Amino acid sequence: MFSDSTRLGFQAAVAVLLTVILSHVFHFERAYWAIITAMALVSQTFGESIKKAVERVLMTIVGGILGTVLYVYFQADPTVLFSLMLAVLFFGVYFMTISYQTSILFITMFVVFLFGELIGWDLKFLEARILETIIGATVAVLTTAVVFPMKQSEDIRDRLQHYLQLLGKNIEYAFQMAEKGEGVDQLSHYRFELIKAYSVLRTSIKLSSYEMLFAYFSRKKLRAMVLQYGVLLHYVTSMMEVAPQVFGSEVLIQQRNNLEGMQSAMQQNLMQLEGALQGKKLEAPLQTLPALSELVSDEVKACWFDAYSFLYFTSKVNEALLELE
Amino acid sequence: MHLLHVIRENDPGGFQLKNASKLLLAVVLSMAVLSFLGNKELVVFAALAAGHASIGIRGERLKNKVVSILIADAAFIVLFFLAVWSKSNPVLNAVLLVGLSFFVMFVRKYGERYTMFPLFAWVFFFLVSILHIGSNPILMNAMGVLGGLLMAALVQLLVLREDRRKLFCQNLSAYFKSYADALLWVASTLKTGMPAQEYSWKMQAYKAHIVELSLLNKGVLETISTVDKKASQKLNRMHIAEVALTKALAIVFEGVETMLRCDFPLDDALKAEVITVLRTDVRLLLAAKPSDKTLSVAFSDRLSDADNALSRFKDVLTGCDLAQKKGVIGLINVSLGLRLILKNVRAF
Repeated sequence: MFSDSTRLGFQAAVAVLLTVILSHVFHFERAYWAIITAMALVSQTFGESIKKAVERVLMTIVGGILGTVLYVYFQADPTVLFSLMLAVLFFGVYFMTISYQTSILFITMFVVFLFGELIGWDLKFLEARILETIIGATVAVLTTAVVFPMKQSEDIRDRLQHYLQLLGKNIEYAFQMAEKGEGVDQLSHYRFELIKAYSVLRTSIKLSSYEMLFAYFSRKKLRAMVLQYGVLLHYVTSMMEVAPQVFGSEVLIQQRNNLEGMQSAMQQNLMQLEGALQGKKLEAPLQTLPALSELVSDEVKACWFDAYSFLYFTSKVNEALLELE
Repeated sequence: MHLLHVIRENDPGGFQLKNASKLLLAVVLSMAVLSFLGNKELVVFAALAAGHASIGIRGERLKNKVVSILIADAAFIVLFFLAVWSKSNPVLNAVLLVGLSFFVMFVRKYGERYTMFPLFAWVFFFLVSILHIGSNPILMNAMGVLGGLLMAALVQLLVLREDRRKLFCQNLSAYFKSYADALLWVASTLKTGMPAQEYSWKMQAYKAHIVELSLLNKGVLETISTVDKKASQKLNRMHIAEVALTKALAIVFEGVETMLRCDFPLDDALKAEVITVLRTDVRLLLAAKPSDKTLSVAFSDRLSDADNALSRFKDVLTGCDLAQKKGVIGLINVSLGLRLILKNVRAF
């Protein structure tokens, strides 16, 4: 319905509006902290918002306590305090794109020193800062969960399915290169597409685990899936890498029938796995491929090496698919 | 030393270090210059504007940077007056804040460079809205904002210039060095042997590090492509070779793993040749000199050494009786990976 940025825009607007209303109704002492937090934590997905909210609240507590201790200790020396303020500002900005939680730690300390310098700082301020950060974080998380939500855990099934489809296309493409010598110039493009899709999938799976913060077994299963899809990526790209070099190979010409059978078995396995992702039961067990030793003769000729590698990677792709069953 | 290493790992090219230093310098300079006027409020507004605007000013070349400065300065001035104008009317101020919140997120659709700047412009608007302004006339505070913006612009234009072409080449050098380390480790493993399980663990660490390094340039490329199309085409070609080279290493890694798992009896002559090829490749990669001027990589005359070593290895391999040995596919894949390494080095 809406693009991701439009959806994010609505989420941010609602989060800020809600926090402004809450601050007026409940007369927050320092409403601006809650409003800034709500705005900063609205993220593309629910999982990402939870992750950032947890990090922000924890680092606000740690940074707030650390900053308060330092402020109390150096309060009497404005030069040291000013130097500290510049130092933590520097590190807050430095870590901004490297580590969100480290950046928040330093920014919170900066806020402590800045307020200390301008109007003074005490434990009441610290309490308000932590409390309002929690309020802002809660509003941001609730907003991303309710307003045009985009949950990774719901989206993940589509991504898994998309990735399996892409694997299927690339397997077909590798066979095309090996058997007909077609599409070699597109190799780097296809390789990039596959790596990109895996990277998106891995990020989604990682973020979705924050949506299931208390479901340990699901997270464990998701981590295992990331690994298995990584193995698949390795073997499919290896197949693609060696495929252009085996076109016209004697072994592959001899194995033409077997190759067709292998390709068809793998595509059927992929289709069954896609069906399973949609909740369908497997119609039959996934098909295995003949072992490499059954396909090639005892004699190992140097001119056949690449064809052996191609057959080996093909059988490994199917083994990885069987592991997903 | 450790801290320097961490900084280099997380911030290759020191871009974040430069950004943080420039922001700090802009804030301190604007405070120092305006403090001569003896008006604290003016100094606060100048520091606020300098700090927030420093994050918004980006650009590879002078022209891009000037455009970026003009956009950032115009945005901050407009937001300052909007905030001052609306602060006496809480409803109007809240409406503007909510509207801006939408806009800040919406403009992200125009790319990564519109992520940080609009957010900090929003924070600036919000802070001006809540700050208790004392006795200064609005125009005087606006002068403070202008002063801060001017300092931020000057610092961004004159101090610690950013060069992403150079960063790309620095990343590539680091990548070649780590790649060479990995090949050297494989050579020593083949020489002295290692339990398969231990090899797998260590291999994963090497692999993850190399993949991570190759991904660094992906981000750099994305930024360059928005400001320097001509360079991005050449760099893209180099990055494709980088990814393919990583794949070749993964094939070598796995080949050795298969041999170790199957206790494949690699005869001494063949082992010596594989190790020679690996070491020649190490020297080749360590000699690699990526140039940010020509956007190419020079490998001196080591490429022919690597060719010779590989062809000697192929000769010895062809003469070996490899039939019926379990794990022979590992050796075959090592041979494939070594050929792919040279092929992809040539693609640079």
